[in-house]
Amino acid sequence: MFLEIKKICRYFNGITALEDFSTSISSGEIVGLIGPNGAGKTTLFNVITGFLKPDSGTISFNNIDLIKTPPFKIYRLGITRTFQEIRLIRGLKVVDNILLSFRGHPGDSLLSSFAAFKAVSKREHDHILIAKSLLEKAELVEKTNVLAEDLSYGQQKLLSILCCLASDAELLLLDEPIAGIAPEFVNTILAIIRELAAQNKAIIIIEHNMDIILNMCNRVIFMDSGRKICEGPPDIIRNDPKVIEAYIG
Amino acid sequence: MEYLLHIIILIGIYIILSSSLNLIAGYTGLISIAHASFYAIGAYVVALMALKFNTPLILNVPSAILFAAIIGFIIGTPSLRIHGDYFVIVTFAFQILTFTVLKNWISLTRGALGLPGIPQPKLLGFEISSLTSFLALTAALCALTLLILYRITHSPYGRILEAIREDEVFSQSIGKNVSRYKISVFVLGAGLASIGGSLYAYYISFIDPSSFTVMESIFIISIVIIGGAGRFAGPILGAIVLVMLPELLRFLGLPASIAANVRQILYGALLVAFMIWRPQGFIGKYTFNN
Repeated sequence: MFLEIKKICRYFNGITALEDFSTSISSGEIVGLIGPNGAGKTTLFNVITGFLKPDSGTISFNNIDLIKTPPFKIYRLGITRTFQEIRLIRGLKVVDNILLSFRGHPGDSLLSSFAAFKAVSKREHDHILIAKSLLEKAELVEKTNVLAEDLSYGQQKLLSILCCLASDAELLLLDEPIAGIAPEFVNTILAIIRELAAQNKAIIIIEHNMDIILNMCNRVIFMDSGRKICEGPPDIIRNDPKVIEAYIG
Repeated sequence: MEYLLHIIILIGIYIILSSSLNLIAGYTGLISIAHASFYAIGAYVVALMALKFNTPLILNVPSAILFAAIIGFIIGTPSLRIHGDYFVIVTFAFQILTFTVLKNWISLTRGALGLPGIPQPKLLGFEISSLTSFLALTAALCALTLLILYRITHSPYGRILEAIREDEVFSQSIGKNVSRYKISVFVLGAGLASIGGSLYAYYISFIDPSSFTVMESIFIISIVIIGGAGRFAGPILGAIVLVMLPELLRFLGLPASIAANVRQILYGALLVAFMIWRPQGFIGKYTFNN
């Protein structure tokens, strides 16, 4: 797996959201994305996942050009994300949210409602088993048939990560996965992220909690005003005067 | 007794119309005010084929479905790519357009004079002319429509429709081709609505544009909202209540000229009351306020 971002620029009515941003990430890496509010971190996620088209620059994923690819196809290629303001299908059950997130369900097409009953129900059965095991891992099993909107904030964040797991994507973009949630969920989520990296997945995390970023990531990118200010291993970034100035000074 | 059978047949027709709209509006969240257009297309295709070519029911009804589905595709493809309220406006415009065409394409539809004398249908050698045989035909087509809708709404495909209704952005982010799903659902709903039109044309044996106005579209969406959008049984319950309600007025002994107006007032008042106190309808789970 290899994602390469080259010289991406994106402006909103003359305001710079991203400028000349380049980086790359490959399998097994955990990359931390840090920077003040408005630095362009979430914009970068939106550009990678196709929700925003850049004004210039290129992005390729396993040598496939992502610029011309719509968001739903980018997901099918194996890139998944969570949203800072949690997005889930709140009116549906927890288990349905996970079931919706699998890639390539034969039951996704209209005709399958009338034909291929066996193939659909077999796959559905398999998916339910995987969904159950994911919920067990996250200790949410007793919430299986609860509506997503009835979960606590932390449980919703956890569920949105379980949805990413169900997709079995190669690259996961996590937008503040542990911000504002109870400590018990933090540990569960961090354990999941570490396990993903061990399975050779690539992960980019946006997070404000510096301790966690410095502990978990192989590499950290510091952004400000849409530009990459510096990039490197956590130890180097921790002592970079520009980062110290932004976070302490 | 005849009167009761007549009411039941009407309820059956409205169950087909409102349940097919429920797929579009209730499950997928696309408010369409064009449903009477597809109702009209069903009725006119069947009537014209039966009158001009004397073709049988078994050919006419599928032709009507196909034709309505094609028109649904032509209307839906451009309009469903844009968001939210614009779609309502496009369907409204299409509804007005359909009525205008029916009224003014005199060489084909005879305009306001309508198409009288639609021949009684035959099916498998039986002539369907008595009220009971029409009831059986209605029940069969109604059951078929509901079976199709049940399968769809209780499948993984149906789950995606509900996801799109709740959050389009999230649905895209989990790999769902949102505009394709919306178009397919609109085409399917249009095709199924035409079945209601076919039945109506055969049953009444006379059709004219006045049965397919924008008021009719609003009536059908009222059934969905009051019965309960996004629930399978919602429009079934809604159709029973809203078709029976004005019939009850008959027993009040109002003169015909007043009864028609009272009917309109009643529907309006009911819709307003539900919007204020029970926006999800009798048994619905979805409200149209987001």
